[in-house]
Amino acid sequence: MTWVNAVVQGLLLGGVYALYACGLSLVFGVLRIVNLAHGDLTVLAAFLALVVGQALGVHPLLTLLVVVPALAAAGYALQHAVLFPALRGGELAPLLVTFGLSVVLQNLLLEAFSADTRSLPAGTLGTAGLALTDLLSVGWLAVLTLGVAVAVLVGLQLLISRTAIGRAMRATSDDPETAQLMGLDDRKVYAVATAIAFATIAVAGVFSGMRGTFTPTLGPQLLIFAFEAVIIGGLGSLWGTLVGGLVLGVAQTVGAQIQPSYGVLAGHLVFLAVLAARPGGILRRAERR
Amino acid sequence: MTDAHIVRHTRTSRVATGVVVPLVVVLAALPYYAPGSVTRLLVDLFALVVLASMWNLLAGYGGMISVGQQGFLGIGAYTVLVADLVGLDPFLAVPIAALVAGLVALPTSFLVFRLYGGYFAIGTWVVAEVFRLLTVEVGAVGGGSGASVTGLSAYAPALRGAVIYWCALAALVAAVGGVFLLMRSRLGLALTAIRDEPTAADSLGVEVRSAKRIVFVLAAAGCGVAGAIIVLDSLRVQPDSVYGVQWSAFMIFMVVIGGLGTIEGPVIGAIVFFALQQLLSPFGSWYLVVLGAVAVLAALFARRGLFGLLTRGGDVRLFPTGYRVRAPTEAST
Amino acid sequence: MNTGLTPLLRLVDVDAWYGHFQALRGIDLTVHDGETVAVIGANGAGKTTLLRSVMGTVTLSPQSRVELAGVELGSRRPHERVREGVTLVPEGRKLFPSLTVRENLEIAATRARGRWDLDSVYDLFPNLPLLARRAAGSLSGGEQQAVAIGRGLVANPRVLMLDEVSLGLAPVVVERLYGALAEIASSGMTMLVVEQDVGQALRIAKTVLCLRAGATVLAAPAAEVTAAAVTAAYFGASA
Repeated sequence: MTWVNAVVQGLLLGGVYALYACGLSLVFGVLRIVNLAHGDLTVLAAFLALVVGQALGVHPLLTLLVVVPALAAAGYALQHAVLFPALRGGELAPLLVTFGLSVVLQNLLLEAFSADTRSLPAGTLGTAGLALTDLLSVGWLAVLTLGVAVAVLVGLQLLISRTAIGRAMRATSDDPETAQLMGLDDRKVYAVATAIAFATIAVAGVFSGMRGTFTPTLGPQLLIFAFEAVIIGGLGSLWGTLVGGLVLGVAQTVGAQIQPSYGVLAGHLVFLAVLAARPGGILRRAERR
Repeated sequence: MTDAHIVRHTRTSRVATGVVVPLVVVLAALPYYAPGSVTRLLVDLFALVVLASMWNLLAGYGGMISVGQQGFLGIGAYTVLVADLVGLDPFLAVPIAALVAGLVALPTSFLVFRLYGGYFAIGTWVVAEVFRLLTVEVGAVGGGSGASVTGLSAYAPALRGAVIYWCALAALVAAVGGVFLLMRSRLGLALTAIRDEPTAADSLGVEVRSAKRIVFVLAAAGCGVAGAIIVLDSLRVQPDSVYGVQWSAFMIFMVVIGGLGTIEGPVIGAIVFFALQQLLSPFGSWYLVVLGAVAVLAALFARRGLFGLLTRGGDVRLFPTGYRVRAPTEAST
Repeated sequence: MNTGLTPLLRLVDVDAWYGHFQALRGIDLTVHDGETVAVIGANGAGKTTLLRSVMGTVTLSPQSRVELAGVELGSRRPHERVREGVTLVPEGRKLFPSLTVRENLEIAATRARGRWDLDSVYDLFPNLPLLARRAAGSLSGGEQQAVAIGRGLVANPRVLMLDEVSLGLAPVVVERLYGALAEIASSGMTMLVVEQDVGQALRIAKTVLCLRAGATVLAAPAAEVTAAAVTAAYFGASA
């Protein structure tokens, strides 16, 4: 039963990872760059929710009303002012810029909030759960997080496949130069895509802040988990990202079941195994290169 | 003297050769007349130069942005510890560290080479994390808290300091000189081709891959040596420190500030970084905020780094790796 | 009906550069409303660069002027030029491969209704409705070219520019596409057509411009151009 429990908890944990990953996946899918500050932005969102929640005395879920627009605006501005100029510098410049941003964010958060461990007070939502059997129970918050992850991914999928802006994102991702010739403003398309990605980062930050603890230096770890979820599931597929998150979550909880310190390591090893055996991700049909 | 001809050396580079060789000699003699505090500082600086040169070799010449070189730094560091534990002379462990790090890098390359661009960067980082997590599981090397290197107590402190210094200097000369010679070789030519025209070089396929693989292995070996020297200097290995991602941040900073894709840039970048570190470290994390911000600005506005600014886009090369065409008139001088 | 005397697109003393390489030298060109101008010339003569100079995707010397209906396009970014009324059907078709045929058309369609919309494009190329839901990357070359032309049309440009429509296509397919272009021209569309296939180009053009090494070597009404004159302009006087 402990093993079943480990798998169930892993699936729920995977919801968080899928949530981390969708912003990373979207930015890569449209802009073809990897945002190395992704994890730190997630932590920033959690801290923002903490500050807003304390200032207004509201539940963390309500802070989403502030944090999501704030991060989306930050994403739009960052893309417009910093990342777009960097995109012209080839592959290297955006990576260096986002890495520098990651260092800046992390250390600003350290200065502002110290290295103390925090969490967002979820109240009864955080403690209440559903006992499936005597030994197996699931927390409502964990279930809600997985539900939100699925909802966000479905929402993104619909946005990209059904709307005009989604169409513009796909076109710009396919061929930015031709997209301009067809009257699309690549700068704006990129900025909107980044804003949407940052909005998902905000959601991820708030939910992971309620589910667990965070410190200013947690960002890199979150980036790695998000990245592993994306690669395990397969690049460029949002469904793959969900599956990748779930696989990573299960790998970690099952690993931790063997020995607590093996949790993260097991996740990494599953990632490396996928990379070795199915570099296109587990959902991708075997492709010959 | 009417024909144009092709030369390697510029006048500056000939002067530089005249400066570099005596400089190395002076530096090598330093322990005989300078206090130990000076040589200790220089050991730190030399290790940074080695790291910067290795990262530049990877990114500037190999086109591979790694955020995981601390994995090989850690392996080098732990090689010293293991050598110490089995009773080997820790100094002997320095070349072994290069070997071990290079050997680990070879199979690693087959995994991470499946990723491109930014994903390659994070992939190398995951590998470094795996090295760290595996290391802390090994009780014999101190687990999560690390261990001290004791074998050096056999040496008198002054001699120990001098030998560590010579190791660091040798590593620096090997790293900078090695990259210089490498870039003048056939491999260097292939790498330049890859950098300048990736799609055309793609048609060379296998050759590109193996050129990149050699670079990856060599850069890992260099980082292993740097790790070994850092441990010899501090006499203590802590997994969270030697495997810390901040090393990657430092390497990136040094190379970007100094000038990517040049031999001289990383050296300049390392000196600047070292000076900033000494000046700004009392300010805690603010100093990293400044470093990060400067790296962002440099990546946006000064793509050729300080060396690029210093030379103002002119044809200055202290270490000539490429060939230049001399116009007939100039050639006759 | 338009008399064809209003200058719509005007290039004055256009020099274009790729880094240190000068691709166009002092090009002057006027395209009148409703007129079709064909630009011919050998590979590397600067034909594509001419179109790029109108779209703003190549560096021009400061004195160069590109005007659309009297409005200097100057420093405008490419997508803004599309809004002003120039559209390029690029060489190699450049459809968005992961979008469907319909989406490829929709992406360029202007909200304001004009002569051209999806329905009129489907009328012009009757096989496209059947392909509407297919990914554009899966189409044959001729089908892709039809979509690319349609994609240019639905933007309802004042000047439609086409780059090497016939490139890599079978003669029978080229014949059909040029039939469609003739129809488009007769609808009153102003067109600037770059073409290697001189015969096809002369069929629909009113004026011919021949480039060699980035400079104009021949500019004349299509009706007056002889095969010998084209050959001479193409290869230089000594040929």
